[in-house]
Amino acid sequence: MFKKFLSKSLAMLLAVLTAVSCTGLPVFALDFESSEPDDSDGVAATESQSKLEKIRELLSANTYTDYTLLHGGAVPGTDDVTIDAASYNEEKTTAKVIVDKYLGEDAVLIPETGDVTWDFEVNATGRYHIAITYAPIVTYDADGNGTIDEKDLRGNGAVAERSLLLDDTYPFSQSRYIEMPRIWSEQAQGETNERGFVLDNDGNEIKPNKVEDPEWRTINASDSTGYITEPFLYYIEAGHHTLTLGEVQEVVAIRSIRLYYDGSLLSYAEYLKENDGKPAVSAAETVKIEAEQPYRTSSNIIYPTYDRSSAATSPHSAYNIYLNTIGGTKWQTVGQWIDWTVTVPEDGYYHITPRFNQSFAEGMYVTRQIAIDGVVPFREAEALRFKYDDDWQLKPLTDGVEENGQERALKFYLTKGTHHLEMQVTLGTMADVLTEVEQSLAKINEYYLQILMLTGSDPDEYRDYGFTRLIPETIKGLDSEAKRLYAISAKLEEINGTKGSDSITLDNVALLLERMASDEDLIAPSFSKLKDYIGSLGTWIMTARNQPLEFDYILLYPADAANGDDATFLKKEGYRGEASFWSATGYEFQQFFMSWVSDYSSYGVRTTSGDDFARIEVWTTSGRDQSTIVRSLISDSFTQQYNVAVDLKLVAVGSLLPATLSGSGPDVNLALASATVINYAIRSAVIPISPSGYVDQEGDSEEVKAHNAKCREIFADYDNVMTWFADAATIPMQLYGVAYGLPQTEHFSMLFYRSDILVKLGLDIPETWDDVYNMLPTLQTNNLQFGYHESLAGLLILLYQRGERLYKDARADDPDGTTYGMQINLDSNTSLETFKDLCEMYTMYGFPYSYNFVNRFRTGEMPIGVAQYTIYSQLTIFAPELRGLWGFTLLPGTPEKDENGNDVLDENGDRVINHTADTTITGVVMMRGCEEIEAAWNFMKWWCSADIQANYGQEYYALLGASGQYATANKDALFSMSWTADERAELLNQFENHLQATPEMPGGYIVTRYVEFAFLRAYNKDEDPVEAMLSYIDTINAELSRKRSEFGLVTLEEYEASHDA
Amino acid sequence: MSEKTETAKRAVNRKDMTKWQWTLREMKNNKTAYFLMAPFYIIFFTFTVLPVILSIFFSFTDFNMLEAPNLIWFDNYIRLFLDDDIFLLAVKNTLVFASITGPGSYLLSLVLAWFINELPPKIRAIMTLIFYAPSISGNVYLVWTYIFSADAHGLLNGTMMNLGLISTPIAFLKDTDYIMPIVILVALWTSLGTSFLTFIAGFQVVDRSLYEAAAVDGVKNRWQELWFITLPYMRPQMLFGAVMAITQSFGFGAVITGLVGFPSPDYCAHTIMHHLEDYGNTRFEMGYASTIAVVLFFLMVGSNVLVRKVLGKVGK
Repeated sequence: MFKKFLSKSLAMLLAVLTAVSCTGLPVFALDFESSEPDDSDGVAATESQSKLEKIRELLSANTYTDYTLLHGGAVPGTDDVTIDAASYNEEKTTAKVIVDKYLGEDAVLIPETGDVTWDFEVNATGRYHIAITYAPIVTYDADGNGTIDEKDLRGNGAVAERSLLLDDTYPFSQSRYIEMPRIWSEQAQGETNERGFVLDNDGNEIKPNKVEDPEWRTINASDSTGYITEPFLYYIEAGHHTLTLGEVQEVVAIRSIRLYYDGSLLSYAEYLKENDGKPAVSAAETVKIEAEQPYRTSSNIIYPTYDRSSAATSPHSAYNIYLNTIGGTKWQTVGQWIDWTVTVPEDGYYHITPRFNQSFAEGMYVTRQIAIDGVVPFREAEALRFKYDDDWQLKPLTDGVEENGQERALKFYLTKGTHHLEMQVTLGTMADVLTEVEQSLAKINEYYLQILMLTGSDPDEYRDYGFTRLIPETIKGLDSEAKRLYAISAKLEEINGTKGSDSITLDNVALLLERMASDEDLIAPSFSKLKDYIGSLGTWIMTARNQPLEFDYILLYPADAANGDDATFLKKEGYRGEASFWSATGYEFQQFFMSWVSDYSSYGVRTTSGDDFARIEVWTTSGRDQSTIVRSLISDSFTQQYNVAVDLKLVAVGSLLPATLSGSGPDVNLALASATVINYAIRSAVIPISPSGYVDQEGDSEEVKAHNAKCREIFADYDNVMTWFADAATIPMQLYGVAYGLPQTEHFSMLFYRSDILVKLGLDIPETWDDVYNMLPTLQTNNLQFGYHESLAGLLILLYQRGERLYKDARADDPDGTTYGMQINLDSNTSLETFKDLCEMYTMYGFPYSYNFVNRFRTGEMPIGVAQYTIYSQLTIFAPELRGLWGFTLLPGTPEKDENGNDVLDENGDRVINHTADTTITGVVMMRGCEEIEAAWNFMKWWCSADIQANYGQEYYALLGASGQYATANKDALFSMSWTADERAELLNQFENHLQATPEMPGGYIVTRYVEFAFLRAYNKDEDPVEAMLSYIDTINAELSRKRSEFGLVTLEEYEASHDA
Repeated sequence: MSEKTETAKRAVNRKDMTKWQWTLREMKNNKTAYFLMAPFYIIFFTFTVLPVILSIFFSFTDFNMLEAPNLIWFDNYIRLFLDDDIFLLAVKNTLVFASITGPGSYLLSLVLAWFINELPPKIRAIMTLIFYAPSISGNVYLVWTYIFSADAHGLLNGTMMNLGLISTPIAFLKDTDYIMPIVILVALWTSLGTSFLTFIAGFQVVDRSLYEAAAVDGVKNRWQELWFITLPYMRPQMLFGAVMAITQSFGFGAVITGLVGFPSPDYCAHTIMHHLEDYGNTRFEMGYASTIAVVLFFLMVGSNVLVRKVLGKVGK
């Protein structure tokens, strides 16, 4: 009886469950549908199509590995062709090039946009290296009028990149990015000590400026990511060809291009044999090169730094700061090099022994390549190894091969005279591993996408999707990727000697893939885990790519002098890796006591009149890393320039208010949110920085008038300073014509898209919101989504695109505009309609309300969406597998309509589309009670200037990597960061033409709040959006009035009362 | 002996002096005690008593935190009670929230402590840690934001979608229907704090012999034991626990903000604490915020008096 009841109820339960799951299941597609690109938009669509065209080409392009498989058997090229750059093919060249003497040589100067093509003949079929002799361009006065204007060439400070095409095609995909680094040297500002550094008042060495110091250099076309360590070999058949350098980024000068093949590099053994019998040296003086005094570097962030951690660092002092090292995390990216000059006393074999610090890559080694006078002497010199150790190390250069139980010291044959030692970051043996992992990752990603399109992001574990029937290739692929990852992990173990955490990451992924491939039923339950693992693989690649290394000095001594035991020899000579216990202890003690008396804030002050300099206090609430960068920028640049000591304090968020309250606040505060700036301003806690804030009022005392006059003078250049920023950026820092802050950071949204997925689905990048709505069915059939901002952030974008404002305009009879902000404009017809559209995106069109954009974008679940543009760098770094497969562009826009409801057309007959994005600002403010107004104002201007902001951005990025995207508000600084020409164009377009900011008004906080309430009511409760919004309008207006009366501003009620009467 | 007589000789009649003289004399006599008490008292006065006095003062002004305050007398109070709908809503929310979580967490602590007390010592220690951990682990309640995340990949939404119970994710922490139950649940989870520990300690100090005596006197079951012996015996602990529970239930603002954001949608979980924060931090109206604080202060004092009265009835 009981049994019967049980089985009955079980059956009942099953039936109910089946019924429920049937109704609730997400729609899924058996196969993804692809629709043909919609051509009806005509002209407007061509631009985005051409973008996708490029991507299609890229997707089908061969990699260098495929290319060598195809042409690897070909003979080495025997010809040696040098193309004179000046004789380019004028017909095919699209760039507006200039042929002129540059740095004393005839050259072609190529602007950032456009391609340059050359013709050449090769007499022998074979594989050739392509060497380019180039020089970076800082500025070039093309029209010779003495000033640099729009017509002239001007570099942005980023690495020059070109693509290399043979006969108008890319031979392989890596040929799209050939890097030509800029060349920098140090320039001391003023009188220097014998080490070439300027000293400050206290005798500290001051960081010299980095200046671009272009010279002609020859580079072989090679892989910019460093995965292929050898220069590229291009297969060229005998006959006539063209070679094209296509636009990627930056201006560059080219002197010549050479096609050659000089045989493989010698091995070390061959090298020793070849130099046998040449004159030898046995006892020459040890030559010491201080590494902080390089001849040239490839990057402006490689500059002398100071290390106070070791008593053996040369030179060191507990009392003063000596710039005694170079490199570290600033010298870690593939392709970065440092060039030192050295004078060799006699011909012979030498050991080159740096004192270095490699405490960065734990349990691994980092790799460098050494070139002497631009030539790598033998194959082993391409991959020198620097092992991990907590301490500083003093060891001769080695390739890691063990001889007699220790790593062998390599000998270099040097002739008497001056030579260049150039150390360059390479990936060494890690290159192969990384290439493999990256390829594997790309494959796994592809498989992931295929499964995603079949099951959606949250597959049902208990459902039979029939994977083996629908995607048999994918299942097989998973298995082969598992095998590949196991193999890589084994190889890695072999290289490092132990099974480190690196191998384990790979093993984990491999195990998961193996399981998924072997048992179809495990695919759905393991799917979300797969997504996490794809992420960890990407992160793994990122960390493995960095090769940080710090140098103190480099020793050069005859190889025979050491007699096979370098350590003993060096100790005898007085050089040690780490200081002895006693000297280290003594040094630490000295430092400890000095920390009581040293005035760190005046580091960098140089005045002739002793202690007579202004002092200001600056507060920042950013992280410790950021504040360290600001600190060093201040002492390296600001203090030197203005002789103002700056006391930079890192304070907790929220301490500004109590400090100001008690009168112990700072003079200047960095990066304050615009709402806070205005909040403080209306309570007179920050002081105006525009002359308009210092107008004499009736009844002011003489003293006040004098103060006003002085301030008007100090802030006279305000208007000029504001030209550094986008027009929109100035709005949130102002209240009724008086400015209270300089914009520091600026955030705005752009449209990100995954081109690989869009191409697969046959979709175009949407230009208007209607395009977005049209693409939704295709996206959703394939379980994909479009991402957008909800609540106020989403509403503002749509409002601005329709030409509507958040507050009602100032009344006509109010000349000062102070009636602006007294009434909300969300009850206008357009606003209500816009709000309704926004809500319907979520209620009708199924936009996801809550999501992590970066993750979903990366996994392909959300191949297109609106997001902050700073996401760009996160994607660049965290999704290396997607490089070139995604992009960003202007937001989807709203076509402008005339009064009859027709599209407004521009002179070309295209629709005028408003792509406006909403922008948010943080600013630098001067606090009430600041006494050194002029010094503080100089500091604010200095901090917001293009150079400093760009510098800060670069340093920040070098230090923090992915999370270090700094969204500067300074226009020039923003564009000097490394963007490709395409990206820069998109960004510039959005930044300059389609940006609007929301003014901060007293009581403005109430708007955000109630818009969200209204949105949530519509989203959660299916209420009518218009009703929901209207129900809050009176409350919003009442709060605005209340706040305005607190500050003596005219309120809506007062205004209406006075006008009724 | 001689000392004693000396004191006796000097002894003065209380009636001969004014109150002040007497106090001063007493203080002089007990100066060691005052000296020992001084460190705590100074700190307590500066950081607890003084702020309370100050906020009572500020509640009569229009202080905006950055400019000098003006005295506006009872305007703030008038506005608070007669012209602030959201405050009334906050009072309602606070009372609902406090009347559920206060007694709720109190009873939960008591019952759990009673149960755990019955366990063998080793298991008892482990169980104590498990129940006590959430309340000392800082922001650990944020784990609930993952459980109730509105993201389709959130724990609850993801699970329910997998089971086919829902087809689109529910914004649990943004939907006025779900917010109050969720925050009450989380509050109860984190509330097994100090009072719970005190109860466990309290159960252990009860004199065992009393149970035997009671058994002789005719106590029949464990409930009677609990009611007539255990609870009256540990009345001090219970009072402490009650005060803690009540105070805590008024101060759960941070937990609510951490879960549903600030302010909560449609003010559905807006408590007096939030209202205070809103005016103090967002609107910079310290005067008004002080008024709210004063009201909250008296509300807490009042509820404490009430609790004492109720606890006085235990075991009677």
